[in-house]
Amino acid sequence: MTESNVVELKDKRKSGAGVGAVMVVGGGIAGMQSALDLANSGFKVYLVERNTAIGGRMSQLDKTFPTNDCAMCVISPKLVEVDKNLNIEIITNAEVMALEGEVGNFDVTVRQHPRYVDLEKCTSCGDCFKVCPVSIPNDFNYNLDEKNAVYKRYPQGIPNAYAITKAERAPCVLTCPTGINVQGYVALTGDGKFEEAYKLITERNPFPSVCGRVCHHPCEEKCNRGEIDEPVAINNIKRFASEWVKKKRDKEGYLPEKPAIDPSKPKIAIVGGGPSGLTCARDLILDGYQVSLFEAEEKLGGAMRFGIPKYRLMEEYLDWDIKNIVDLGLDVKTGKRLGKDFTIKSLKENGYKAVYLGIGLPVARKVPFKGADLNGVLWGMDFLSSVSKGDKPKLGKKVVVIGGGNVAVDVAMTAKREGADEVSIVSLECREEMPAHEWEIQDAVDEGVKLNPSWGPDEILGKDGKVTGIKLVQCTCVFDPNGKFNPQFDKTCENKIDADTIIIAIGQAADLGWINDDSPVEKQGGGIKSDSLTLSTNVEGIFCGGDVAYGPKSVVEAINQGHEAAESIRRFVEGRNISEGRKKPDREAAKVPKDRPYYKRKRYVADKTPVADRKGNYKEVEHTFDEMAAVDEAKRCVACGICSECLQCVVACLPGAIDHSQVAEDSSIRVGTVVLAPGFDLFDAYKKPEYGYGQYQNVITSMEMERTFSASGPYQGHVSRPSDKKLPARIAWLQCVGSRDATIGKEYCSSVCCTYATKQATLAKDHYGDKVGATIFLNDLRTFGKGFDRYYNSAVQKYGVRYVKSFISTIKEVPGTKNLLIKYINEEGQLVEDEFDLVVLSMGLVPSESSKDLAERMKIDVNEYGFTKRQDMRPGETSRKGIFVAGVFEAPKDIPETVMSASSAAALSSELLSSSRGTMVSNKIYPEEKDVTGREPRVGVFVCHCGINIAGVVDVPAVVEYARTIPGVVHVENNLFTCSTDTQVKIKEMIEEHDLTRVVVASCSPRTHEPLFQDTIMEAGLNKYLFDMANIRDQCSWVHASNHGNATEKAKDLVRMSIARVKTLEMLHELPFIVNQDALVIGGGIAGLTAALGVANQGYMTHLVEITEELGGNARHLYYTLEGSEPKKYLADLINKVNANEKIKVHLKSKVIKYSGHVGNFTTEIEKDGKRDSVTHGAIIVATGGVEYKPVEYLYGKNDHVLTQVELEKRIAENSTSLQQVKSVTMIQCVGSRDAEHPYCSRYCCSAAIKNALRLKELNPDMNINILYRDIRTYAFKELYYKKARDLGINFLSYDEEKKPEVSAGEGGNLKIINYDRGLKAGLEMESELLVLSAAIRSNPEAKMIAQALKLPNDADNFFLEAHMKLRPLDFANVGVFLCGLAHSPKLVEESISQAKGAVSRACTVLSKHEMMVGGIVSHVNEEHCVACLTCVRICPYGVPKINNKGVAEIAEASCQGCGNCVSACPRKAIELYHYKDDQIISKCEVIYA
Amino acid sequence: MKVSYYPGCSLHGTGREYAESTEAVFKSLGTELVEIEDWNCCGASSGHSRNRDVAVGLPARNLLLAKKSGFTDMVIPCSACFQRTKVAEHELKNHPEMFPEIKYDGGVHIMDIVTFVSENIGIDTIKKKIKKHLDGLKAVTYYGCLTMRHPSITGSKDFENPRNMDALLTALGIDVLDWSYKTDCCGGSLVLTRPDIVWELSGRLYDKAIEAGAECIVTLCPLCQGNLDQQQAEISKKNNRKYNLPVFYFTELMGLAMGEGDVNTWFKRHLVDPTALLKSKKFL
Repeated sequence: MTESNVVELKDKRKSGAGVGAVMVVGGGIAGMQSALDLANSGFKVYLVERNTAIGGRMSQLDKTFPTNDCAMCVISPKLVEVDKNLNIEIITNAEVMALEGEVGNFDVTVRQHPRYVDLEKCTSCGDCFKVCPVSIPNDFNYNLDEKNAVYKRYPQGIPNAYAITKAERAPCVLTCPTGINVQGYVALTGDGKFEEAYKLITERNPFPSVCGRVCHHPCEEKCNRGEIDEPVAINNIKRFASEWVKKKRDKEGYLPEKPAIDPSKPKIAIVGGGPSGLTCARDLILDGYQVSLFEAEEKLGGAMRFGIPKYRLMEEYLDWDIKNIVDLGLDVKTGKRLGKDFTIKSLKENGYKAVYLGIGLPVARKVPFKGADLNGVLWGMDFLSSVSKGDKPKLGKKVVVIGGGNVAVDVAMTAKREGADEVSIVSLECREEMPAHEWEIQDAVDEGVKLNPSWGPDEILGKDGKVTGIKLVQCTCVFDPNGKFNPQFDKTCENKIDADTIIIAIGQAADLGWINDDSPVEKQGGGIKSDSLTLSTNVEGIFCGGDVAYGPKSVVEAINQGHEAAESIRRFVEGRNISEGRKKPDREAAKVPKDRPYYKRKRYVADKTPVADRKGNYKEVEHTFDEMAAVDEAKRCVACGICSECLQCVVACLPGAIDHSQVAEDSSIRVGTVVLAPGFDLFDAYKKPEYGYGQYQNVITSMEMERTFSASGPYQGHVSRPSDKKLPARIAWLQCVGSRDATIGKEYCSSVCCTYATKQATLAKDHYGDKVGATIFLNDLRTFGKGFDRYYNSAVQKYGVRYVKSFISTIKEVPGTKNLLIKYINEEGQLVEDEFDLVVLSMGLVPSESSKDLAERMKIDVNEYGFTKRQDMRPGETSRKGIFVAGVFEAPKDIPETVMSASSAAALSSELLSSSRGTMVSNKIYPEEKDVTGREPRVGVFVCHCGINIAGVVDVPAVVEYARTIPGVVHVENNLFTCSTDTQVKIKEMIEEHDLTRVVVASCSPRTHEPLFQDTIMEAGLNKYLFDMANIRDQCSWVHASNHGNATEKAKDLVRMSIARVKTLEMLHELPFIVNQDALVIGGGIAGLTAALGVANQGYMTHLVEITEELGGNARHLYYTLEGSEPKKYLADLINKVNANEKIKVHLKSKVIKYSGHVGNFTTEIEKDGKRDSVTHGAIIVATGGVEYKPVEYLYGKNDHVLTQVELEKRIAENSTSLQQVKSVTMIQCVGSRDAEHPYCSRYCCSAAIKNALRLKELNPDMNINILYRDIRTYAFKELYYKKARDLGINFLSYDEEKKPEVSAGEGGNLKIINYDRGLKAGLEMESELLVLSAAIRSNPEAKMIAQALKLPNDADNFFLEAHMKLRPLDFANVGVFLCGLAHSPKLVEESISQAKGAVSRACTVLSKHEMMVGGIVSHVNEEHCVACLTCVRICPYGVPKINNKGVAEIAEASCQGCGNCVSACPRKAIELYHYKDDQIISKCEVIYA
Repeated sequence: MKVSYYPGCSLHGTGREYAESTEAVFKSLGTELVEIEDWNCCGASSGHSRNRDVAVGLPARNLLLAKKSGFTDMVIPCSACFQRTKVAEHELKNHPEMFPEIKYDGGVHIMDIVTFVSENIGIDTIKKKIKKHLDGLKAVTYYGCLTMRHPSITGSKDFENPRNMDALLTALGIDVLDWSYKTDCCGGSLVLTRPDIVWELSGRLYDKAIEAGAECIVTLCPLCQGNLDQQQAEISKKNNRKYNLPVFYFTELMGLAMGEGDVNTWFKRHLVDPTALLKSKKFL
């Protein structure tokens, strides 16, 4: 979209009015519904989502209850609708940080977290995903499978783009002295990309073969995997990767590419061919410097060659690493010794601008020692060096090595190989304090080296000038309390070891004999003084690092010094500040991600040469991993840093969308109100450890089960259990995990679990029949929603799902099979233990993690569980004006209730902002369309490569050439990404240049991309219907990836078909009509009153029609609610407001007779006192209510002591004294509900019974109250009152539907009640003064008549049937007619109020429009062919076709949804659907066979 | 390091090998166990269920003695003793008004022995002292029901699936197997009054341990060790299945790995002879 043709309407706010924009926080189904309602009724919406895609939890569900619709199928069109809406700005990966100001004018600070992918550039081709080596648990699939660090949340996700996740950098990366991207190369190895891994290693470490063998790997000590079991064997992985590459290159005869030497750069000299010198040289060569390296020995390598024995590092590998450096073009001068062959001065004279001294500590440190001059005394470093040069130092049979460091250990093991029979190590330190690495000491011990820790050499003993042994004294302490080396000896404790050779390995020393006036470098200690940060010495241009600067350390530290030296030299010769910004800041390392279970996996251990085979040779002790071990071990990495920044994605992304430099950004957005819909998280299953979640693989959560069922889930919809991926034959569901549980502080009911478990059990049985057994362990069955009891009945009767009322306290696992054992009380009352293959924990809902911060930032009150604090009789409102709540953040609820509350929150917002409606919305204006009617088609074809998605399989140029040959085609081109912004510009140019009248795009799915291309051609003046798409990706290259030739042929066919069709397409026009902005509300109860007032407050005229002579409906009998509200008071206030409102016309004693017209333009006839009147309006809200069932059972109407809850409530409220003396009351639930004839739950009765029982207890605490129930259905926070009732001693006694209580008249006017007790298997008899029946709610008998008059559908229980039970609960299929209150289904008063507001919001999407468009893809009746057979009238799901006064079918353009059902059903072919006419379809078929 | 040590009656009696192995490995690990002078019964056997003052007063006295000697840490090997002492601490902290005569305001950290060894001594220290890795020994750990429970009293985090003893044994080289019965009940002191219950509960533990692939059971509780070791022959008869599962104290295996000299005197006191198993693994 270009700026020029989007017109921002001028801000025409009235002074003092609020901003005509709303922020909706949370992009789940609640947020989406609120956003759509608001945007469609004239408000700008900012939809802020914390994930990278909208869709929320619903996008993760498989099916939805009670209709078993596919969740993705129903939510997907909504996603597209939100995406396409010009007035909804989607802000993903973002969170709200602060809110300032007042209602009407809030300033909200939104933090946009980095996505690392540019939304404008990303084409969602997935090439980045393919190369990303980092696998992390896929949170969208609840960790059942893996995703990559660059990912798309789910295929249908909006925005349609990838994203990258990062944590802090992994500790291995931060720990490595050379700064290798450790996590990166481990991930690449795990992905089988060994060459890439090697390259990543060598970016920072030029000695991977060496370090893979000898590094002391501090990275492994910090590895987060170690917290789970053992660290990843990082070093072995590095060794494997470099050896793999070495073998490959040896075979291929690889030669490195030499970097170009920049002659303008000065010459640099490096002295010392050890690790630091070579690293420094390499860095500088790669930068284009001319580098000469001077080495005193004949071979390069330094300590790596002369200090490390060959059984740990074979020369072959050292030579290879060195060769890879030298081959870059290093000028090597071996055998050149500083001080002898050259001096610092001579180097300068020869034009070297800077010098690096990396001369190491090549000789043994010699200290005066009693007997050191005896024959048979050798020095450690010198001994190792001479062995490695091939000299055979003279060695006896009994060798004693003095020293506790790595050199001493190496000396001991080398001595063994050089023929010594007995080798002992004498160290001052005790074993634990020995500075040598533990694993090296262990190797020595394995080879038979004896350790003598805590002994100090006193004197080397000799005879005849030859060594005979050594005298030792006990060393009591090596270090003083300050940790300084200060050994203390106990001279009284002596020891003596016989020996013929003593090797003293107590340190290394530098060779500094060359320092003189020509080389005036300052010394320090035994080495050279240099700055620890910049490595500068006292002489300008001379730098020094490595062991000679800081004492003996490791290869990796030396390498790092090489890098630092190179950096200093670069800065020095370029004249830049040498120290600025060099100090590395301390960075926090990533921690083990806590969001997933970990299962222990043993670390791979490299094979070692058996001890027996090591004798007398220098075979490598440790071996390299094989490929399987390396890959498998690499996969143990938990990827704690998430993205490893290996940058493979940057290379792969052709549009250049990846941007690793993004940072979080805050912005301020001004809005009038805010709707909070942050949704929910699952209760943390780890908090119920008795169920073994995370410990037993086959215990999963209910959301994991949803993903298991999902066709796009981790198992492609095949129900499998995690341990062996087999179909579980016995599945158990455990209810109330994290709900109704005081031990974990979750006393409330999560409302949805009983029904979703029923759904999952049903689906399992539906998919697998008798192969799967389904058992649900539960407390109370709470299927209280509309149609839910029918759903439960079908689960039991049709599918054979077993429900067991037993609370499970623990799960045990069977070893081997990993089946699970559950103990429970069965239907017969016996304690039994059963085995199950899979256990699903029905997890409760908790407010989403983000909502705690959100509530604090919004300064709104929350309840003790973190949900928003309930506002008395004001559902959807929070404690702060102008901040509203939708969905589960208010209280646990299911999808339809979430959608209703979302519409309600939208209405609350728009009511406050109604005077600013339309001030912030924008409209797009297109150029005038060119008329192509009657012109010869001129087709342009654009064929997409989709990066390599299509072009990697289909020969795109061949398709292009082919398309050129088709008649009518005047322009064809191919694009790397046809959907990219620059291609849109190009398409427009081509339309102009070639005067195209038709466009075909051959690329991906029209589902995601057709609107984009249609928009583009409209911008170029073409009617949007002159367009067709050939899906050569999803339906061609993806499915035929292994058959390139035929795929290309198929792509040609698809393109040919599209061209054929596009030539037949016609321009279609949508025409506007003026909307009548009045509303009609039918029913004057609390729902109707709320709706009428709501519409009026939005600024529209309302007709309120009530059949009786009084407003108020059922609420007139409601004195109090469970929560303590007073509906009667509320009602009185509401009626006053309605009567006083000028915009509401109340029609009492009036009846709706019939209506005509369509959305935006209805005419309704109303009858009052026999007189008929007609009103015109644009929308209808049906709120016709319900009635209380008058029982015929339990002596009701025959005995004065039997009454209904409504009657009891009235008595309590109006005549409470008459009840104070009552000693006993019994209540019976489900009277007229949940029976064979009325298989639905009346929902309010459990709450009514408990609220009345609590009031009775208040009147008389000693009153004995029994409540006989089947399931107590106190959902959400009503559960707290159920608990309170139990705490107060109210008795709850269950009864079965088959064995209902028996009631008869007892003594003294009392009632005798016998209730069958399942546990006792006997009837319990009780006397009661009063019997209160919780009578059902029935639909309003008048509703049937209204249904007929308005042609609205009813459900099986005579309540009205909404358009869609999940996502359109307030709409009828008949467009423009809406529904709320008891007319929809039984509910409580606040739910009615919420629904009524929601219905207002829905109605406003019509009423707010001045004009609406009709036409486009709609059905059209050819009157001449129509025989009025009524087939179309019957088949239309929207009730649109009518037989008109000409006696033929007529389809109103304004109402038609374009589904095409009537077209296919019409036996005379009298109906056609525009854009899908017969010839337009047939044209495609014809060319296939042409 | 010195630590206050409460052995309780078991470690002076039926669990002598527990006491001896504990003392031996602690010594080698450089931690001195200082037995509380003049300690008394913790009240676990019957006192605690008869009288509230006795229930709290008995362990409180031990606690006060430890504190008087200037210790901040108190280590208790026996699960029952540990539990009783933690209960006393909990009661004194939360209901001081009920025990006006006992003046204890905290300050002694009461630790079960496994927690002390893993947290205060540390696995790294132990690893350095290992002379013989017990590779290939397949064991299940059995913590019993008292050490972890109730978490509000013991402060245990992993009360359903404790892992610290597993980690210790893994460090010794032992193959510690997963099973679901780590904290189930063995029947406890019902062995005296209702042995049939012990036979059922302990019998199930044997079956489940064998099912998990274990060659032995390792515990930290002297009563559990007693039940599981002593009743094995009896339960074999009842269940018509020959059980032969050595039941070790974890300290015995530490001692074995660390090369302590007295291991055979400890093992000699077991009723199910563990030496055959250990010899077959070449540990003896």
